[in-house]
Amino acid sequence: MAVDRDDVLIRGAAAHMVSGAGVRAPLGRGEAASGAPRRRAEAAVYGVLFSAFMVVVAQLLVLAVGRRTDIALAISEPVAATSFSRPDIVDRNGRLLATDLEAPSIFADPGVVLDRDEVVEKLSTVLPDLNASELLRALSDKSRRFVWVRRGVSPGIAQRVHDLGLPGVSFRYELKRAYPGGKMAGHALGYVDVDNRGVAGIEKYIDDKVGVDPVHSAVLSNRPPVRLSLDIGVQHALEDELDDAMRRYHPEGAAGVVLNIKTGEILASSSLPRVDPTWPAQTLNDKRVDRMMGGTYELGSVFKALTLAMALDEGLVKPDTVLDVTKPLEAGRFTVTDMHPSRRPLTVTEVFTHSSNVGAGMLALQAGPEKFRDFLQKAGLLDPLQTEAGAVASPQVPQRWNRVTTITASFGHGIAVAPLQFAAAAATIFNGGKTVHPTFLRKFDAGTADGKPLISAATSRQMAELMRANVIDKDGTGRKADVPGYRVGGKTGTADIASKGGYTSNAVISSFLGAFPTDDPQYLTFVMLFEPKGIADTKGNRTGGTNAAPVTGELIARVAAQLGVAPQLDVVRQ
Amino acid sequence: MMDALFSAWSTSRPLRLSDKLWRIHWPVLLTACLLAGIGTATLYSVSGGSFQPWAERHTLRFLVMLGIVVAMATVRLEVWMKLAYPAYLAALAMLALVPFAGSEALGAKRWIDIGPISFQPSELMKLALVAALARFYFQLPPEKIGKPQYVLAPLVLIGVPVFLTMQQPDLGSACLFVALGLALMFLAGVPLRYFALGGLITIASLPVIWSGMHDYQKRRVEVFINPGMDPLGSGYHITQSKIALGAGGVAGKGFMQGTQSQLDFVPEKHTDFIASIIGEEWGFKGMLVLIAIYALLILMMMIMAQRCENRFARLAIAGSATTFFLYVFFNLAMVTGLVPVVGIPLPLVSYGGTSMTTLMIGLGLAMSAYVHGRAAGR
Repeated sequence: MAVDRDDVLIRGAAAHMVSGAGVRAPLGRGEAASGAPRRRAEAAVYGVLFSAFMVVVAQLLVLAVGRRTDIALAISEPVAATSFSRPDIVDRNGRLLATDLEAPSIFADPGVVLDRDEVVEKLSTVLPDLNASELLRALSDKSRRFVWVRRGVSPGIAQRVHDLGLPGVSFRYELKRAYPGGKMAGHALGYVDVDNRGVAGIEKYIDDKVGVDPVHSAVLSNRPPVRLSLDIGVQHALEDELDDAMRRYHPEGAAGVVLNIKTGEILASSSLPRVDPTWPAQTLNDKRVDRMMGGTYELGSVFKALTLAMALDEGLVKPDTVLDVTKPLEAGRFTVTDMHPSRRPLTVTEVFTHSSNVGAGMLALQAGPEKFRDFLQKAGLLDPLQTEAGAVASPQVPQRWNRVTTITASFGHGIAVAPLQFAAAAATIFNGGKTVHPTFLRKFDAGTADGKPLISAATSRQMAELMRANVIDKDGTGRKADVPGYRVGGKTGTADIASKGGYTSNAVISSFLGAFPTDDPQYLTFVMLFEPKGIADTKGNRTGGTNAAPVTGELIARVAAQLGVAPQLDVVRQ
Repeated sequence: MMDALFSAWSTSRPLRLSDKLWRIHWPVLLTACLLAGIGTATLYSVSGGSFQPWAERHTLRFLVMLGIVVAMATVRLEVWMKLAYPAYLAALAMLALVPFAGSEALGAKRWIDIGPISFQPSELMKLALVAALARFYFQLPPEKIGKPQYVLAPLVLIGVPVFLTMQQPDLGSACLFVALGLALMFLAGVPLRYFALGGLITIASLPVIWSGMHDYQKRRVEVFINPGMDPLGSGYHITQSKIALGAGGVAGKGFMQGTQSQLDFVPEKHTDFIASIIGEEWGFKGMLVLIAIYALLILMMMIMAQRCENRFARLAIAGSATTFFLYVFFNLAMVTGLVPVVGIPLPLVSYGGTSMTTLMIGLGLAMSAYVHGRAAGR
């Protein structure tokens, strides 16, 4: 300790500074006192510092480790993000199907609202469907500082509310999902909730598998768009033709799909009446169910394509093998007959083109219940199917495969599957025999089908020829589906609809399974009309050949060129 | 008498500039640099990996202030002693003027514009209060420290600015003045019984204080007690900050990986709530290191104070250290939800010129005190 400075200090500080011991005392405190209190004061200073920091450290530790139990956090979780930004959805060519828009949302601050009756009354003039009593109740709680009035309104509505000039009523911009195509592909796209989270369809798939980003203001997603397999052009043609069919045949509903049989890509899928993704409540309406995926149906004779493919592939018969179908087929207490019983034995080809139930039943029985069941299993018809647009309704299959169920299943009864699942299985028959998984996503490595083999390529070729024959033979059931140049092949179906205690023959599902071009099948169509009415054009008939077949023909005429199938107008009809 | 007091102090051989630079407590300045560096890195992260708009300005601002600290360290102590009371009175006058001449920002009048410069008189008052109290105890004989009238005088020194800032209204600064003033009084040696008595009076008068508070202040306190009451309003800051800290966990998400804070969930993330970003990105471990650095800084400053013989120097340094401590403690307590949102930044890490200026000038004052307040040769 330097003495000369002490001297100065003592004088300068009016002699109250103490040298030596005082230097180590904390800051003058206890300078005049003895050592013990001085050390106590020193300890107090550092104790306060240390314990203050320890409190913070302890709280940090609680936050860092005990985060799941913190009540404040639990309360605030839903608040963390008020909305989610979503990637766009585009069709296979990049055309927009769904996007996020910045839309104004109206809210009120009860603490600022002056006259809540006036607010509710005036808001009701702009928003006539406003729940006035509920809003009135919410506004009466002054401790709430935030009450949603309406989320995601149009700029026009927002302007009109703004022009009301109501204190305490304000706006914030939020993301709102918009579907430029309106109802187009509404079932597949699904919908989102008010927080812009996917609830159904592709939108839900985006939440589950692609990813959405939490935001608390209108921040657009910078994720790349989700590219679907759908083609807006084909989708529009399909929906337009189904609309036309609704007008002509007055069915309860209609559905259709266009499938790339090599890749499983769904180019178009529609179910009428349609749903508008902007109005999710529509999907709750039974009549607007997605008939392609959301319901299972006994599809009837189109199933014979599978039965024949199995019989041919197993080598049980050849296309020209003759079957005696003149007598009804006895199955327990049932008797299976044909709609137009043949008075002569038919070849296998004729069984297909005449759509003989007896013939199909005989072929299935030749294989036996086990083999038939295994074949359907391998074709993917007996297990639940999952697509990006959601789960397909689970197939309803016979519990026991015996003589009766084998016969009925051979022509598409006693087994109910979702049409999309059937279409995917049918694709296998024409693509060279490999199973495909139907997908709503664009595949970029589009080559040949690489699934498990179901039937041989040769059988697949024979089936394509049978389908073609059914369209061009003079007594084939699919004649009305033919389109010059595009080599359409197909199979009709007219299934009685099961009702309480049996089948009603007045209500049918008429359908047409199409494939083109049959010399090298690329695409499959499946068109269904639910409970069509007989009209003059069809001479009162409601069979698939009279309504679903011409719809398919018009559809293929519109989309074949879009799909890159070249017409061959010089092909001579055989 | 005053002149004699100062001249007596300065009769000794004046220090040369090289002596002064040698006597600067460089480890303290190095620690300050470290903290500013942490601030720069965090601001760089908050802006998504960019020196704009905050990190670069933060760094430049700190470097300029660092130069000022070194320059201040070379100024003789008696200059500061002479300035103490005038500065206090000037700050007081400006505080009184704010309601009339101040400009308003975010619902509170706190700023005064002088030409192109706008500043908060309450910030100047933080420095002036330390200097004035140090100056007061410098002159007061030790045996009088415990006498009631000499306890009342510094209370008036503290009370007037507290009253004026409450009018602005600026609850955060008012609390800081009280804490800072009381801490200095304790360090100067005011007997503990006065603090106990004061505590009792405060508790008894809480209802009165409550009724005198502004609605928004009451609301902050209420929401602080139950953040779930208003998760979108006043409770939003705290809950979001807690979520960010919780998301960081023990290990943290990694530099520039903090989603809660980077995605704009945490408000004021570059200023008062910057700690929640550090917590999210570096985790509990990172926060522990940060606190350790602050503790080191404050500890070194306390030791600086103890090494001085001049009472003004000791209290000036201690006051500066206390300011640092109060800022750090209240900021971290606010960010972790221990106290209501009071608007106090994290020293040298948070972006913002005002607090940086205050703290660095305080550091400069402390450094000057350290350079000149010790015996020669030590």
